[in-house]
Amino acid sequence: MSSEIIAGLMILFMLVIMFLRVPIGIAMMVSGVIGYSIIDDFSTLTYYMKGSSFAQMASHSLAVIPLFLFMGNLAARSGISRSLFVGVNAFIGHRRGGLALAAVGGCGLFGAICGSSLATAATMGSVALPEMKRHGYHGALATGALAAGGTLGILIPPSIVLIIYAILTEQNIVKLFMAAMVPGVMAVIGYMLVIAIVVKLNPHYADKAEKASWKERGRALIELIPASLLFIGVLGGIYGGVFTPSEAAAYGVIGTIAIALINRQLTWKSFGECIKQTATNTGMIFVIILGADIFNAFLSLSGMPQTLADWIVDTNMTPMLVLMLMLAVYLVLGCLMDSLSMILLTVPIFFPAIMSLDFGMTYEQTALWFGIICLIVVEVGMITPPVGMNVFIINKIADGVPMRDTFIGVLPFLASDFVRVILLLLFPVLTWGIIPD
Amino acid sequence: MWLALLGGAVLTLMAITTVLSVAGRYFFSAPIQGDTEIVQMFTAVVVALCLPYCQMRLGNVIVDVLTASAPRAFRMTMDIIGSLLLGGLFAILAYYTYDGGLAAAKYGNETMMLRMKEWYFYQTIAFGFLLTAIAGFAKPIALLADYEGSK
Repeated sequence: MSSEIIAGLMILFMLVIMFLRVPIGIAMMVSGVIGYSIIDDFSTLTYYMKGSSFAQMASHSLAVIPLFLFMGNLAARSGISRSLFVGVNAFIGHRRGGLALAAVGGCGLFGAICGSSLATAATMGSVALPEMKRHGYHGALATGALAAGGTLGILIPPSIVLIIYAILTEQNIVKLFMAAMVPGVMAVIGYMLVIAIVVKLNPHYADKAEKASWKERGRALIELIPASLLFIGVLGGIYGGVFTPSEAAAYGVIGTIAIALINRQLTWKSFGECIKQTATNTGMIFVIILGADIFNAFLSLSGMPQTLADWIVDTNMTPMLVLMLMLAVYLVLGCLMDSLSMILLTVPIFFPAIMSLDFGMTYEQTALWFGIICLIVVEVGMITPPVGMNVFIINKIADGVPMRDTFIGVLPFLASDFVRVILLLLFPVLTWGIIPD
Repeated sequence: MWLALLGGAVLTLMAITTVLSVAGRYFFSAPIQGDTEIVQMFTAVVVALCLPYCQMRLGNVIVDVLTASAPRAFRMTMDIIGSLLLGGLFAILAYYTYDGGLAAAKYGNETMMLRMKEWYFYQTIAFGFLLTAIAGFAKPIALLADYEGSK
């Protein structure tokens, strides 16, 4: 049996045990160990294992992960989400559907501090949902907007998934973060357009709220200052080259603690909760990273990704068609798996194939563009049934809204996601265009 | 539990070190020597402390779409198998990382600037893996007790 076939069988085996509730990272590790032992033998793998865990864990580039997770968890408890929502709401809340617009805007801003979709959806949801309910918003609009808005958490940098992509493909994290900026803004605008259209078609979905006075607006603006300083510091610092990403993350952690203290939101108890949450998230991510490391050692030993890439080039399919097929795989997988595992699992297989095709761009441009598109398509999985984690979490927070309503409410936002993906496929310059030479 | 809090304390320390170092670099042009090494090595410590806690809370991502409606006994059996697999694999990883640590000690591997001994961190990771393995083997007992208790 050729090693490529063994690789294929091991991927199948991994998916089967994964669907039987074996933790994803462990499923990767088991199939990696078995596959490696079949092709070569176990003792060779042990040489690799002696140093691999140290190499993965004592890593300066991965230090950003626990730091950004910590920052996100702290931000979720610091009262920042409330000031963001109130701040945006003071300016656009009086329009029809204004609270939903403010929630999406707040999610976008919160996404600039937090790298996780679920945390963004959950924190914004707990602030914005009661407000929308009070103003008689229809459950479908309220929950749909927040579930979709949550995906901005991962699309707008900092983003844990982009960091992992950067490490897997040896791309520059800062450039990837920049490439995500325009698509991120497009996402916010797209979601806002959706809300405007939905309330135009169904005026009974949302009541108008009272217009804020200029005095109230002023106060709201002042409340926005600490949060703005935080993301100007973190993102501006990264883009401007003042900070490396891990330094920015460290600055962000300390800054968020300071804001939480000023807002009188931080107690020893909630600080402990943040730490426990961060520990669980960190452990979870690193189990997947360690598992993927062993699985990828096996994959590259098998030569399967290269064979696949050669085969794709041989078939003479147009590059776009290949990309479309891959995106279709992402959509299907996205309905079942979480985004991080999908990226860790598929990028080592797909990336060589994509890079061997000619899209009429430089190597780096193609890599950045593919990363952003993957990220968006993977995120779509967060709001599609049957898994749609964001949808579940928002539905849980919004008491009394039927699940069906939430899924229906999300549909128009999904449509805007598809439009955005098509735009990015047609105009790759939207991703790498803003990166200075 | 205490491990997680210790991990959090190390993480906070790591953030403070970095912030001080960056501030030092810009305002006093006196960065903390080898700050990246401190961060790098501490990351290993943080993660090693987080892993066992994560398994105790069953925080690892599983795909449960297809099995969500399966009978409870089946789901529990699969969770026990998953936890045991995790325990076994982390025991293997712990052993070989320990072995790698011995080699690092023998060759006297040190970090560039601060000359920290790498093998300390190898053994911290091995210790964290060992605890994770124990958590993987211990969790099924708790799962079983839970199951019996709720019958």
